[in-house]
Amino acid sequence: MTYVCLSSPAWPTDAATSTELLARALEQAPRVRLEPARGVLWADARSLDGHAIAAALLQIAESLSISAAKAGVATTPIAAEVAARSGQAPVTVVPPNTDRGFLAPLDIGVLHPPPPPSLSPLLAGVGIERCADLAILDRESVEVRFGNHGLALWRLSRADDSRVLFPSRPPDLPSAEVEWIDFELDRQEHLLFIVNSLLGTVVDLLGKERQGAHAVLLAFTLADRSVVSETIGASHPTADRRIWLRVIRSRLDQITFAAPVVKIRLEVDRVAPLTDRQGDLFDLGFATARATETALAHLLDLQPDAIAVAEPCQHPLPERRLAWSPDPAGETATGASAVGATSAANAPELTIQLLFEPRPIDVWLATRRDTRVPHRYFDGTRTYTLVTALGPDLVSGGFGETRFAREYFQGVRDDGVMVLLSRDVATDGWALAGWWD
Amino acid sequence: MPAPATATDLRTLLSERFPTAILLPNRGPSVVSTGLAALDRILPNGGFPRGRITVWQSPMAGGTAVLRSAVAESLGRGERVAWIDGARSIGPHWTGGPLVIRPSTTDLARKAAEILLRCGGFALVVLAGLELDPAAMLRLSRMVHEGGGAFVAFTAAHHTAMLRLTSRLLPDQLRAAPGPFGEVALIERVAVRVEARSPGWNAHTILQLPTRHHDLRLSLEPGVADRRGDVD
Repeated sequence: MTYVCLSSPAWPTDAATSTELLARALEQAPRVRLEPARGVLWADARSLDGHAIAAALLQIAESLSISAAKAGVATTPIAAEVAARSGQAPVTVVPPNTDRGFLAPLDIGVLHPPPPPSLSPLLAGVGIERCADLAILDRESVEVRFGNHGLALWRLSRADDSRVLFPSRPPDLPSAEVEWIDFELDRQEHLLFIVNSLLGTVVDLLGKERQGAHAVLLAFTLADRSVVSETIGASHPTADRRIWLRVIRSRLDQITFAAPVVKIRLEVDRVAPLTDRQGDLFDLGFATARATETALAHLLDLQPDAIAVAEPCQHPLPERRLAWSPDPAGETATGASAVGATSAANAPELTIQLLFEPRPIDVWLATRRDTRVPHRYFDGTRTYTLVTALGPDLVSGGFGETRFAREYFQGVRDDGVMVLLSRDVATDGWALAGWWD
Repeated sequence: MPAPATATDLRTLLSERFPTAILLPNRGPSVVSTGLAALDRILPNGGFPRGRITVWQSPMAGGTAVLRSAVAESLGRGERVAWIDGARSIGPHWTGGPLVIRPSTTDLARKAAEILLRCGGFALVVLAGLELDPAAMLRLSRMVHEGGGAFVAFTAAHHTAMLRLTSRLLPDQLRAAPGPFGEVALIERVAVRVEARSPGWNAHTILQLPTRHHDLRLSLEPGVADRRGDVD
């Protein structure tokens, strides 16, 4: 990287001159940066003739009546700036790999940013006047004695300047658009036909870069010139045209346009590199891993929280004992992690199954040692007789509207099925909470 | 070596040359083992058939326990298993295991089953808590055939299926712990009679299954309000 720095002690402050300067500087270098507060103009001279660019910038400055302008060329910003500010000639070129040597004999005050007032006496106190005096010290000593400001100054004195004057520009994300003037479209099939065509262009570009789109922006320009924009996301980055068409179709089903569409623009909003997962020869599902991932992605497109993992918790209400959280990656789909599960884990046992919402039932009670317990219940389809009912277990808690108080009975029906019944104390309503299966 | 004169000679020659090979006519459809030897013995070919539909027609009668065993067996072999919880009734004793799908609607549950079966990546897909109409079963049968996995659906309806299983608990064979007054205090073990029906096949077995007790009183947690409070 080669930097060209144009500096003047009398930098113009009017916007017109700055605009003119930038426009003409851009004719000389692909990237320029103006810092009017500091009175410098930067130009990116990578792979170009830095001296020629500096000379051209000086001519431009002269034509714009910027007085006493000088330029510096170096491979680090600090050396280029110091060369522009402190150099004797109109253009000072610091040869590559000599930036530190160029700075060495100069006073430490030429560095920018200059040392804070509190630091200058400390530096002077130990005899540090030139950049070389500071640069030869080791980092730990500087950090201990002069703190962070001293450390930053130490780096600059060694021509170690990490400023990013010209950040690398991310590549343009793929996009495609089509506009028509002879007709207007309002039918979804027609719009999808065009979107499908645009998708073909976009996914081809993504595929060449081995990238997948995580989200796309779909902008519909209507006949009244209003624009309806929709950002549509996929469950995982993909460059699969069919997946995107399916996702877009489902979104289009929910959109009603106020006027016919005259233009559609499709642009990729977010991308991620497409990666292949490391395979395991002993994983029986490895051969179908890609198909499985695609299927799960399809599923997540239909319902983002469809795949869930259970985390046991200690909530008093039995139906809340499992907290379900989405598992967007579907990691539990890889059965390899369970290889070698012991036979003990396979031993079947009846466990309780709990309804997400307890099902209301009608209950007939019987007296048992001064306690009323369920004897029969009707679930809307038929009546069941309970041969035994254990309970009640009393559960209460919560605050305000979330307050609950319930009695639970574990019963055994005459057909052998074990059920869990609950009674809401506040409403005296009975419900089937679950069963053993 | 002289060329075999007849197909019988050819089979004989092949069986001598490749003694461990199984001739295609003798090979039955591959299956997914249930992990229970007693149950595998009553199932045609020793498990749930791959590429075919199996229906379990007796909800609330031990089917979930048996299928969880089959799930664990498949996972232990490194295969993928999915459990579609259409009724969202999975209880608190569910730990680890298969990919759990919790669809928000009946239609999504059916679609989820189709997607997972069709992709061919799952050795076993279980659909619970959802009654399917004949048209949906027909679609699913195509998907199962295409994907090649085993599919078990809990349903009370009588659908055409390769394998139909029914189960019922045997109340007279319950083993219970008595309470202080001599009544039943805790069900410890149940007996489940499982019947398997397939074209040309009818068998049954009785499984003894322990019961995991669900104790409501073991849920005390700091920070949670009193749960044994002022009822009455």
